Amino acid sequence: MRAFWTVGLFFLSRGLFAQEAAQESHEKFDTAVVSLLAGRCLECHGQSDPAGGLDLTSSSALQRGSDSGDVLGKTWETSKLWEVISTEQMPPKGKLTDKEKALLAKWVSQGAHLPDVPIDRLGISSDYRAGYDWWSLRELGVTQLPIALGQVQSDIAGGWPVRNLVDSYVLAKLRSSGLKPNPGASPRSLLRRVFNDLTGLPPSFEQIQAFESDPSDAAYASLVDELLNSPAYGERWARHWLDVVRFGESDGFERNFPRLQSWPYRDWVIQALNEDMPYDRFLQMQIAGDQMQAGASGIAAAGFLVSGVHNTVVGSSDRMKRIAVQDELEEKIGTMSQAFLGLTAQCARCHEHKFDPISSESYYRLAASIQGVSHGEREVIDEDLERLERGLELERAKALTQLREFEQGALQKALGDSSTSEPPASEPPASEPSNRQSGLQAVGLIPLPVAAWDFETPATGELASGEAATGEAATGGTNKRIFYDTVRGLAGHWRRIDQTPEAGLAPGEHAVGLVLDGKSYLETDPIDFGVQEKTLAAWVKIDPLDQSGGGVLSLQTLDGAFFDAIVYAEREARQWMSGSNGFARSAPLGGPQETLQRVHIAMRYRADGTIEAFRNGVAYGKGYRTGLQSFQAGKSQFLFGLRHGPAGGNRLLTGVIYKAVCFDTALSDEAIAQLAREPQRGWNLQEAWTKLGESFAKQRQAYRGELGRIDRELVDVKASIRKRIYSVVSNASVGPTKVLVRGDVYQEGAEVRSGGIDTIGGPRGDFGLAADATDAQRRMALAQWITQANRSLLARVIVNRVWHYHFGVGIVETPNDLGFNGARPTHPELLDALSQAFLDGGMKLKSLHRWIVTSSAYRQSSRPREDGLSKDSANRLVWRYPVRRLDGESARDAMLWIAGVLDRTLGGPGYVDVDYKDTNGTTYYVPKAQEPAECFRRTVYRFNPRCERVSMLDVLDCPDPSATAPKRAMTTTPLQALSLLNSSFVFQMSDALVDRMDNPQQADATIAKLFRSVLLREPTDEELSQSRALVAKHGARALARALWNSSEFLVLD
Amino acid sequence: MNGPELWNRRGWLQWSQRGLGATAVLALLAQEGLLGKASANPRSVARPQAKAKRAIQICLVGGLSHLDSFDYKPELERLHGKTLQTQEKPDIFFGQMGLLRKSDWEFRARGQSGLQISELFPQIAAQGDRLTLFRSMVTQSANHTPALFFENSGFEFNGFPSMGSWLSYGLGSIAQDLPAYVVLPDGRGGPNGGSSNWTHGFLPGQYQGVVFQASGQPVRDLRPARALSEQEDRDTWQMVDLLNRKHQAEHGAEDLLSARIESYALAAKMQMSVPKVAELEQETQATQQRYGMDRAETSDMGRRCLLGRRLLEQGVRFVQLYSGGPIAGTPRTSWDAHENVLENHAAEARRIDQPIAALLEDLHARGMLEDTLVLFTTEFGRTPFSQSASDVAGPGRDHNRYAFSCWMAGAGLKPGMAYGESDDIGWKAVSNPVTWHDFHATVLHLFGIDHTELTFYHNGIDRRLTNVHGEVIQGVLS
Repeated sequence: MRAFWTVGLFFLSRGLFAQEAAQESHEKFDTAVVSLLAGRCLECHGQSDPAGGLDLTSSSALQRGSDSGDVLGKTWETSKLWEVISTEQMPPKGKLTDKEKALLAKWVSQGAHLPDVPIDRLGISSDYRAGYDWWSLRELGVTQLPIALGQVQSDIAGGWPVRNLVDSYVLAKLRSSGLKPNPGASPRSLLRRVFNDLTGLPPSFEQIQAFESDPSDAAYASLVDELLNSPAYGERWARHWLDVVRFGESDGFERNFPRLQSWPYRDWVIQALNEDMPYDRFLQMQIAGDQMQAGASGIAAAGFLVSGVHNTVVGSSDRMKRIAVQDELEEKIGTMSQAFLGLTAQCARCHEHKFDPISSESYYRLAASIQGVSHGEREVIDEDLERLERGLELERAKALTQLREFEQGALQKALGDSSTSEPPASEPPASEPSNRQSGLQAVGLIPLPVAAWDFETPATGELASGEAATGEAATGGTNKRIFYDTVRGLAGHWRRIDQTPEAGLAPGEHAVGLVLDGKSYLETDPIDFGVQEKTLAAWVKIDPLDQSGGGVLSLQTLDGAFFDAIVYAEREARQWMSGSNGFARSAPLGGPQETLQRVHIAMRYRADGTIEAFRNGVAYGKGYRTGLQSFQAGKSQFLFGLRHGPAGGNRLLTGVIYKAVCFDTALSDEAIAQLAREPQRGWNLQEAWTKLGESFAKQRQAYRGELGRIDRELVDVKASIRKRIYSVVSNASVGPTKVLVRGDVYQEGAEVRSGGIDTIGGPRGDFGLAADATDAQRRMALAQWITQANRSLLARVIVNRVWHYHFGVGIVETPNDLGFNGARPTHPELLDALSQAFLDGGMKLKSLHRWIVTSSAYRQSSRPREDGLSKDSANRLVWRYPVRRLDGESARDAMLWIAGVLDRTLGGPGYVDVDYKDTNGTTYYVPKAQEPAECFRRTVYRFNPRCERVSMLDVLDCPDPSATAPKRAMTTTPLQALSLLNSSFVFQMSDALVDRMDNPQQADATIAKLFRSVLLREPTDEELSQSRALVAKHGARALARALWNSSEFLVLD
Repeated sequence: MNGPELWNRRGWLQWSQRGLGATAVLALLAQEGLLGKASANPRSVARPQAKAKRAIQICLVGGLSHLDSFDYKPELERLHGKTLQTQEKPDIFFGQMGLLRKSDWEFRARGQSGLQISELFPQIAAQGDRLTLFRSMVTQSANHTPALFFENSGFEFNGFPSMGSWLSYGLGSIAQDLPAYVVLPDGRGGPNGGSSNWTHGFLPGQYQGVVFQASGQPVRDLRPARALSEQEDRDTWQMVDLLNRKHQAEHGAEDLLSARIESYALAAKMQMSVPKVAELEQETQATQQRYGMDRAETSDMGRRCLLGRRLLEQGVRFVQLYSGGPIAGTPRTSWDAHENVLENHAAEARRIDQPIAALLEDLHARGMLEDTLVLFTTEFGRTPFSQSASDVAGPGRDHNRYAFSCWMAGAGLKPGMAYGESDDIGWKAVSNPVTWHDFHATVLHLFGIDHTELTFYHNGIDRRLTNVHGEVIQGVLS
């Protein structure tokens, strides 16, 4: 018997289990006793401060007795120890069973032996709690495959081949329970199932037909590969992970501020899954990505730690502040330990974990490891993109010079030619020096503009957009008119601020210019070039002269927040002014009051911030020096007839604009004079271009195309260089961490250093970091520890999670809890075998999916069988595939996809289907009455604040991101029926679907198409005749609405 | 092969967990003789001695001053303008401690019971003999949203099921065609935290509070979002039914498929019963007036109290009304009287005093008070000292989590009594302090439910409304 204590001590104190022991029966008895003592007595009668002074952890301690003396007595029957047990005084709560009492009787009667070295209460699992030897903490035990691969269960229709280890263990378990699996599912069922499982989208009718014609293993395997390689895979599985990590995009609590920059974390998860990043690295990055990888993606990854709730209103009292800090730490530790380790470490905040071997010290070591983390936005400059930007800027400069030189050269010729009113346009450009000379004179000093408009000339004005103008229907009495500039073809869109019909727009009136009636204006698309110093000029008629504040030509940022504009009489009656945001760069010019109706006005903005005006080519009043506003490519636009956006108030002009032009240089006085003098010459390039003929146009297009490509790329690059990402912000210094006794913020216990849970195996719990270690050091160490401490557990947790999503329920029913309070595995050997294979394969999730979805167990039919239902109605043994309703996201995505309106854009800021506003510091979110078309993206891209959602997602059990959601409920409620029948979304999808295929002349064809699209099959005769009646009476939309509500669409079998 | 004969106990539980809003888990278990504590989850046991069948809760958002309403402190009159002698740094919100301040309202002994209630609520006070006052409430947070969450769910955080959700989970709805748990927010807006206050949390979704809206459709998606003919709607439903029955027939015994078919049948019933219950115009003119529907300041609460009574009558298990909208802002639209208790509380009380008194009377007159619980609650009280400079007795009061008052009325309670006491100035509860866990435990008890047994496994623990705390307050039970 004593031999066991020696061996036992080893494992009890070190958490390792001896595989062999000499005296097996003794060992069994001793283990049972220790387990019972550990489970029922040692919590109070442990080593430190034992209740009543009685320490039951070692032989010597027991000999010492309690505060009231010896407990062993002369004979065991008369001993105090036996007395309190036999009279049920002890344990005080929860009686011992008879069996337990008998065990203790035997133990006491044999002398109440205990080991010499104190028992570690957590060393051994009992009926009351888990110890270090808990099943999920042990090393993986991989057994021989119970049934050889390749065997076929031949008494099942179509055979049931043991395709891989999944089948071997599942089939063995079924056989031992006297059950058989189901035969294979139909190709249609299988395809719907695997498409949804791997991508969250349904297959098409055609894909099903193709698979029906070749349902071979090879065809299936290649389909599976295709699905796993599609970006939709990452979108699908990211949604699962986002449930688990409680990813929400607002703070929660009172203010519930939106987090508009936390989507990069979501994108990072999608990308990491699509790349099949090894799972351990996937986890490490989420704890310390910002330390492991430079740039945006590392920072985005660390967003995990701060994607939970965050209370920003904690009040003024010290107590509330301290509690808020501790609550937030618990939230993070709880999520991390459940999501990564399947352990509920948060339960050890106030006391040792009641059920799992996690001490309070361990909990506070974890707290110390993430205590340096704060919530916030970080600005990220992507260095790669920055380099790319510099390169592109150089390229752009070169391309621009080339273009300008080319154009300038050609232009000189052309204008030279026109000055002699000679040769015809078709003639190739001449190159005699005399021509060039005359061209130069004709152009004068006017450089090339960046944009120019000639509203008087139909060829370069509105008529250039003939297709657009005629193709569009008039809305609200306003024609959709587009005007292009002559340099780049920049489109300008005609707008009206009300629904009144166009004032006096007679046919051909466009020829006189851009007629503005004080309710209309023109705005261009965003410019694809930047402008710093500049000259704005326009020929304009102000009519009537007594009006105030209208803009003639304005260059503004798209939101209207910044602008430089030629403005009429905003502050001084009838005087011109350079308008600017909040008059920031505006000053009275002191020029004469306007008397003429048709004038040429130019504003010159020099690099040094000087602004001067010219009227009909001569200086207007006196210039002044202020600042220079620059306008960025992609973020700025021109306006005509509007001072700045948004349109309204006195910003609109009444009159006619004839021509307008913008240079990205400050023109010389002479050039401006020439511009005013010769409106038809020089700057009106279109005329010149036309003259230069086809080959010139082609060459010029090539130069311009190159410039455009660079500009477009630059716009993208610039937009992504600087990002704000909601993520971990490291505190400058991290204070000491103390154990809080009973979780009380004012009862500080021993100081602990950054570390992990020291009792789940692996490296020691203390990371060996200094007390003043930085946040970065702490999190790096934590990331290492969490993925190294117990890899068996790490693998079991994720393998079980993946199984859970494929089969609707995990091998362990509680995916976040593999501890004592969680469920026990139904197939422990299978879980271990899969986990081992997963570890051996480098922790690749896609391999895991492949093993699961190619197994016969996964591919079997969902048919209920009486024997199965009676023996295992919950299907825990997997005798059939479970019947499941689509989750909310899958239902919505499938409807968008089938209706043909799903926008497959990957990543980026989420779509917003709520209206939200800040009411005195509190944000309220109200689901929009109807989703606008820009919401038609996959639901994983939904901006996901902590609040009510659009009804359909709400009633289809999408979880509230307040806490980790390892499983979703699957409810069937009347409210669900109402939402699926009546919500605006369902009507929108019915419209979109029907618009795609309705042919009122051929109702049968339409009906067949609808069935194929939604139910992925042909209608039966009965369905066809019922549908005919419905469609005849109410149109195809009614049928679409009914189909969305069918169980066949919403339920996977 | 179809029908319940194939559903063993497990099947029942699964069905009920993803079952219908109107499904009472306990009722199902009881029908099947399956009540027991063994391993079933949920494992609450309905007790035969249940006194309450339904409840209506009025939540005062922002923190009602107990000192000016239900907790009479003559000592404060004597100490008015004096300093609170304390070394303590109290846990209040803004941290400004002014001088002690007496009540702004006169208190009087009411009815047979002689309960002291102030003139802030003259009409409720007139029914003092029906009330069971709790004058020793305490809570953990002096911060609105956590305190409101705590009041609703027993936890200070987002994501825990509210009491209404627990009750619907445990007991289901009495009516098949109405939700078990209905929420009627203040017409001026939802409380801070919005729907998190009536969330089902980790319980299945059908236990969430269903908001009845004041305008538009009473329940969202009750009617089609598009204008279409009754005929088209009916024909479409019929097509759905046809498709689903055919599909089910091909599949055999599949409870999910049967449940889906039944959910549409219940939805159709709801379409009838919801508008009907919301037709307040069916009530007599006198009733409408009694509830204050005819006056601007009382009409919002009056309508909601009357609707509440009608909902209860039709079988809704739990109705929750809010008095007070968003917390911050000027003028305040809640009870958060930091600046001026007299102005703020007078205005807020005028909105609800008459309607609530009418509700009590009406429930009594209809004999419903016998088995209906009326709860009048607020997240915390207000300080006996003013929120002002330390040498001023200003007009406003800060949050007080150490003592405040709530009341219950109706089923199974001793009426006309006050339970517990705060100290002489109403700063801290001194005798029989009552926590929210105790309060919740008592409510569940009145419904015949042992609060320690109504549980749901979530993330490592069998969760309860009362966390690991809570004692039923025997002293208030009849």
